[in-house]
Amino acid sequence: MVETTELLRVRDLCRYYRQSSLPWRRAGRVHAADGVSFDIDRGQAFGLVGESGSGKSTVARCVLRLEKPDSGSIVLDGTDITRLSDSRLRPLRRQVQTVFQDPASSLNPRWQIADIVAEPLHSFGYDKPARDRRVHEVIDLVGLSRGRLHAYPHQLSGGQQQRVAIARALTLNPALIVADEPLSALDVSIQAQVLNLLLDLKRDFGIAYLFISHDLPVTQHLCDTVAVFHLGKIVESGPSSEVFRTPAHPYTAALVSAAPAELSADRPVRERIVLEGEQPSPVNPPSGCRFRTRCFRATEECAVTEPPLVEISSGHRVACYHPILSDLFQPSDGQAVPSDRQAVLSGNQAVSSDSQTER
Amino acid sequence: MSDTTPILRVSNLSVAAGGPPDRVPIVHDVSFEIGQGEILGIVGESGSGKTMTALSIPRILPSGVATSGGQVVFDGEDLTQASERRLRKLRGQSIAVVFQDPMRALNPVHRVGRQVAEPLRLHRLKSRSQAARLAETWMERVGIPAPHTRTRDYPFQFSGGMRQRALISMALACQPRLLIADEPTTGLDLTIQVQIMDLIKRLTAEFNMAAILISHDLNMVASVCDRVQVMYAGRIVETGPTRQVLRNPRHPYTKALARAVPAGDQPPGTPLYTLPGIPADPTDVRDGCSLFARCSYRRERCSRDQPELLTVGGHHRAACWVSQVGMELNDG
Repeated sequence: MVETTELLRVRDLCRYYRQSSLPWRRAGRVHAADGVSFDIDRGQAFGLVGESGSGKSTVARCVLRLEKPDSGSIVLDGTDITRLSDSRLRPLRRQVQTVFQDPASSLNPRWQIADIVAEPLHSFGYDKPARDRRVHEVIDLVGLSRGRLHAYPHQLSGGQQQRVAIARALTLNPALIVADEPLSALDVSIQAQVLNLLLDLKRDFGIAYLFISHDLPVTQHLCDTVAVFHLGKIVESGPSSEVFRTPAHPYTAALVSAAPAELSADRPVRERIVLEGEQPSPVNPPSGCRFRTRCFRATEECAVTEPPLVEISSGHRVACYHPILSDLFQPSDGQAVPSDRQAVLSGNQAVSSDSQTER
Repeated sequence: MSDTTPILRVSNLSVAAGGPPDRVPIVHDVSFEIGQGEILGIVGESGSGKTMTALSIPRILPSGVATSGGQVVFDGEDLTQASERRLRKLRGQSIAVVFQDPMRALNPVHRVGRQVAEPLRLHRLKSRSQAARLAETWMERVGIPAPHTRTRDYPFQFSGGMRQRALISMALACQPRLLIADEPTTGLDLTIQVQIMDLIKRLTAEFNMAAILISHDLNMVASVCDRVQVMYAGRIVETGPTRQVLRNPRHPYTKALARAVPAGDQPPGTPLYTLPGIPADPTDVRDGCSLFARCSYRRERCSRDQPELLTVGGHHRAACWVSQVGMELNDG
């Protein structure tokens, strides 16, 4: 294995679904992922946030190669896995493991916990003593008691079930865990426990995450870098603290303002941006920028061509002709916008804070 | 808290499930009030009894579950003593409920417009054509675009957010005095959640309704509610003005709920404050505080005596022995 920091490289990933249709109707195409590019380094947590139907799970399924992308490339640890045959792919699969949203439905109800956790070891040919040893190790790691090894999934609580799913993902020492909304089926206080566990695993074993979520505070807490996903496209990406503290894309800004404000801190409740309407259909996305129909800053220009993803400061990219640079989302310590960012963007738009709160 | 006389006063309400031999209590001795125009948030995790508390107000508890004590006084009338006939008159007209899952709450084989008009027809408030027109007006008021054509749609043609709007318009069509919304935004996208919360807040103010908002999300509730009460294992553990409760929680459970959500001013990657273990089972009746096993502030007394809900400053009350002796809930 070549020691590189780069673990996963996704370039221009496209995945379309043919909409099931009646024979006399023209079939539509759902643009679930449309030219998606991102990198994940070893030991790094990458968050993909977006609303339901934005296509974020499709990206996860392509990275796991549960689906073949229509175009683009996925390079895992130096090997292009985009079109790799199943037999060639198999040895690489142990590098990438997954945790799904609903723990109850991702565990076989008729298997005991010990068998569920040992299954990946079984399929990679470990013998019984090695399997048992590893199962005990990972069960301890995720904080389950060994007494529960012979229980069935329904005897465990939701949080414990999710720990089992995480234990199963850990057995093969993966470099990357693809976690698709792993916390959303859990109660708030249990969510925090599982989130702490994910943080520990990242710190102690250098596991990288592709973390898919609609929960901004949680993503910000866990992830080093994030990408905001809207209708099959990344609209903004960068270091998570920067993207969420100073969102430049109007969609990110709306999501950030919608996220419950931290109330323990003594800060005023933020003005909320209430977006009108709903996500347009992914079958017939609007021309130009796909967000323009709900955008409070859209102009005629936005309907013509799709805005490219451009870098506005180191590592921070945004796909918008009218990114937000107002002070509304500035950190409270009064940090100014980095000057390089101003330079890039001072061109064609007025910085208006009044358009922020338009309803 | 509202200065006027409350529209709803719940006192010492208990709810139990199951038949007499193995009846188990699921809500213990809950008391609260709501004034006109006020929004009360009831927050708790699954199984905390928040939904059962709210559903016992119009007495629409699931079969096998019934109130086992206490009073529910709505507009001067004790609903626990009211006849089924009287309650039918109140339900949908004076007290309306918006349920969590809008797909299951709507009838899939009837057009949406007809369903929105149904309460108006059932309570014989309007003629068929008047009701249809009014339904359309209400659908427009809650932000359903092109209501004239959408009234002819079936629920499956509506998105999740639109269905929830349809349910809200149905609930409000008779202009109830009390609206009960049970997790109205769970399962919806964040931007849609904000729209729905915004809508509920606007309409309660506009029509001077009282509203109970049930949620597991403390921070979401905080943005619209005047007061919150936090429930754990079938009991109210803390109640008070929203800001006061969230800024200075005086019950370890509320604190854990508030801190379980990462805050922006916390460096990313730092461990979150958590309670060990899993939520207590309200049916498991034992002496002392129900949080005892999970609490890091516990004292010897907590294992013996059930803490009472007592004031910790103004209208802010908490059921915690540690808070009541004036100690701060510091980390650690």
